[in-house]
Amino acid sequence: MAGQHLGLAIAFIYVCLGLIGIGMLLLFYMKIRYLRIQRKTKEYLRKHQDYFLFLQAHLGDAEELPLPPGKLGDLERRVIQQRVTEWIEQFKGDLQQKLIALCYNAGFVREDLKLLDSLFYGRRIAAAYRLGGMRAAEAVPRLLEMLKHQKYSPLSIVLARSIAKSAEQEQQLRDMLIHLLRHGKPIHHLAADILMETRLDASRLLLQLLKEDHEDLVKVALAAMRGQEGLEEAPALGRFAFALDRRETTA
Amino acid sequence: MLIYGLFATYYVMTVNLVYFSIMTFSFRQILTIFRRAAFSKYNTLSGSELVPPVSLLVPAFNEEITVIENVKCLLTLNYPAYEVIVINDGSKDNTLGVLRDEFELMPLPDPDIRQTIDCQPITAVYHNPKYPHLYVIDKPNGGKADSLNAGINLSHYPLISSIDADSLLEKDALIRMARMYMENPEETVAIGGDVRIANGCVIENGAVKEVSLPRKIWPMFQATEYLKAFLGGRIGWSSINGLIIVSGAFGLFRKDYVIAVGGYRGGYPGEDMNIIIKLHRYMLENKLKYRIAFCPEAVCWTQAPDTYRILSNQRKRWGRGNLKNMIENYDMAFNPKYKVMGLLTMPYNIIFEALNPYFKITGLLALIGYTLLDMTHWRVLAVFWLINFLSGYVLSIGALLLEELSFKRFNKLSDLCKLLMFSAFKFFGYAQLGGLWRIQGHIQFLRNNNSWGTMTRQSWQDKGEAAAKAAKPAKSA
Repeated sequence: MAGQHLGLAIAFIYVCLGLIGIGMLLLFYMKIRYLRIQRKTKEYLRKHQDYFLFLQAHLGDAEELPLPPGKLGDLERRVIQQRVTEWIEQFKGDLQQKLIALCYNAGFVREDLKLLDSLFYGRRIAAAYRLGGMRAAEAVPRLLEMLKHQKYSPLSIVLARSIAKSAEQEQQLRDMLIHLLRHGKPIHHLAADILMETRLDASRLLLQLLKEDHEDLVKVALAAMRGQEGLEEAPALGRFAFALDRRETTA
Repeated sequence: MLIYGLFATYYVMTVNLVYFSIMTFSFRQILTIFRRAAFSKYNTLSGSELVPPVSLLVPAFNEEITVIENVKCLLTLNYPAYEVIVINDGSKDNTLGVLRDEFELMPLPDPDIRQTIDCQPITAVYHNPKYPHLYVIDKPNGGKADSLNAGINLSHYPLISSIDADSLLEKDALIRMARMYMENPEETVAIGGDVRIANGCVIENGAVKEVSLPRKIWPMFQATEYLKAFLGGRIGWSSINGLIIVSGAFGLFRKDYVIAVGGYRGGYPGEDMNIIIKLHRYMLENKLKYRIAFCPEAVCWTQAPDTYRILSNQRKRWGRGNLKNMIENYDMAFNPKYKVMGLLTMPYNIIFEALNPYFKITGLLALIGYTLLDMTHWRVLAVFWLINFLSGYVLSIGALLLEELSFKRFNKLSDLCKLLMFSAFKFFGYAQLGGLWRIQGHIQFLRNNNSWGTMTRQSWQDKGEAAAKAAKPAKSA
């Protein structure tokens, strides 16, 4: 009897030893890989410092921006893409358009569009995030499809933001909101914040949303209008808000 | 005796299997957390009027050395609308004086205080229009819970956040939490942040500039413990809505629900666990849909005790608080009405947390006695100890894997080696001390000894300089 217990306990010990061995190997593999990537990233940032300065100096020129000369490795391309995407976030108007064009010409957008078909969910989400950063309008129908099938989670917000940044049609933004709000969560403020990432005319869009029958869309528009200056129809907000409140109270 | 020895061995195996299961939930969540953190930028949100405003409550008792730096850190968070309310809880040092001098604060003639929750009468509220978002409450000593209640009574916003005066928040910590709140505002009643050990880090202008591991052994042990508790435990518990504690060092709460449960319970330590248990109870009894979440990417850095005396005092206090909370809420355990909380969290905390040191120590003693009486082979003793050590070490490695999969805060291979070593060393004395401190805490509870114990602070500036000095030779080498 005691021997049986001891046998079980020893088996437990072997299992633990196995898990410890596997865990340690994984830890060292992941750490060494991560440190290598970090080191390489720093090297590439240093190597292309002049190129980044060149980009900044020629952002206002009429010519298209080129990639650095020579063959670039995968990580090297990713480092450049990341830097350019950061600038896209910071700039507006023509400067932003030039950087977006660079992403297209360099093939960054094409590569990430391909990754949307990856078998790995993580790669698809990462690609969706980067496509949003590059304002890739072609990606929007695919991103909408992804959002439609996505269970509500923080990653729905990542997808929705990418759509809002990239959309070139108001209908796409409307669809994005419908997919995002279909889970019944009262996230109108967050949805409004996402909506305001758009490059389209926000005032026009919000006024259209106010005319919607879909109550959630009206609430998003009302939330987005808070703090939006210069909207001529601002006095209408009170009327809409009142109507919504009254409907909710009656219900 | 043999039966008891076997029972203790199975107890250790069971407790670790339960912990493995919780850690499995953490592993299931970790990639989503990583992606959420990596693919969210806060440049638009941190300037948006759509983000809910927050009142930061900072209880301060004898914090003259660290409070200025902490308040300065809090006043520069990336967050659109918030206020900082420091509550001077009858400090015996010059906490109030240094705050008044630094921020040129003057008493408010007619402060707008709502007595929604009972607390010690407020002596004065200090303010300076130059710092419109800073308020300092002065009140007689009433403990941390009482201070938080006083802060709630003055707070102007619908969300409150409790922050320890000896902690530093990362600039994005609050906006990360708010984003999580905005993802599900109706159901979220509380969110806990990740607490990490600042000892050994290079700190400049109230922010952690360079992350490093502590150089002293006591904080080093705690660094491994915190990783295991926060990443290995709390992510998993929160994924099944069974989180029993939101660390007092940094948490975000819906004010209306905190008021509905009567605010923080004073008189005993463990108010951070108590408020969460009360929120669970309230929401479940009123059949309200809710979640108590954990946001590991919202980081708060804290000074860990670096001497035996201070650490043992802290752990005894935690032991008292835990026991008090378990006794107060024993009716929830094994009660299906309280769902995960009643069927899993409370039984786990009673059997595997509060009573853990008793089973482990008595089991070991039983087996030692049995061996000495020559009634069994030494192998049985070795097996008991090995199970204890190895299963605990697997959990520590699991926590390190979670860290490596998500946040990767420690940037040196030597840090990983050090963490692995200390995770193992922990079982040669430190873990046993932890059990002993918990038992001592229980004894203090039974004797009605409710003192806070000694807690000395070191200035963040001194700590930062010491860490920077230590980092420089390492770099030049």
